[in-house]
Amino acid sequence: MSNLTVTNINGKNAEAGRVKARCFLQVLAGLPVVKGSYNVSSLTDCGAGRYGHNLVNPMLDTEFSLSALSKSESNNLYINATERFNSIRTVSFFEVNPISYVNGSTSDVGGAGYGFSSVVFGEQA
Amino acid sequence: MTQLAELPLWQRLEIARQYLEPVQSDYRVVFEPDLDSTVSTLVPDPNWMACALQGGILPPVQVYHDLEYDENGRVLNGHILHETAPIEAMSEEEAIEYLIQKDVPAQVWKRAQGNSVRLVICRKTQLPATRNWRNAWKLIQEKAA
Repeated sequence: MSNLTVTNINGKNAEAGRVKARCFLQVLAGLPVVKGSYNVSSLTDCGAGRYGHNLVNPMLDTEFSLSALSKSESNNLYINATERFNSIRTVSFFEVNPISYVNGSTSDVGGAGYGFSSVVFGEQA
Repeated sequence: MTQLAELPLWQRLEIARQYLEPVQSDYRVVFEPDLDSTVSTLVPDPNWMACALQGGILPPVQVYHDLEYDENGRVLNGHILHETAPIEAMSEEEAIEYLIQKDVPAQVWKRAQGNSVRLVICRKTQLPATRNWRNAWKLIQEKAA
């Protein structure tokens, strides 16, 4: 029988199955508003349909898993999402945007029936 | 009895998320990350703001600046996030100053002085109410006398 000794010398949170950050935002009256979140300190509205997320407890490295999705009450083009193609991901920042499945363009997810959610998995510092 | 300050940062956040009412701030920070891009607007997170106003949860902002990285960008001393004593309650204005130092790029807020306006703290009602021409937003370069 072998023993597995686990030490937490780096203080990291390695619980792999747990969500490490999440955010649901809406664009209301022209401004992004956080409607529900965990481990997010602020949003950075970087431009039309470009939503940067800043984390309170940084991730251990930049190789964390990220998932994002738009929400729509009705059928519209912007139900997909992607990490911004030229954004610089850090341990405490990532930028995502809704994309059109027709032509790949980016736009805001405006209105009360719309929203944008992001979830982060991985190891926290 | 376990004190909140003895818990790692992520556990303090979990507990705060459970017990504190989110606080939507009216403040926004508008800044120009560089000359070529449109302005960015920083929106404080309501749960983070609740933590800032409560006190005893968030680490001093200096801790974020003291993080060390290896050549692959991996955090080497993450323990300081959890072991440094949390700061006391802040006012909303102090929380915004904290947030600027944490989430706005250092090249924007660290400049000693210059002849252009690169960062403005305002209320959300002072921002345009429509997203039309969002990517053309610029800061007005007129300094108050």
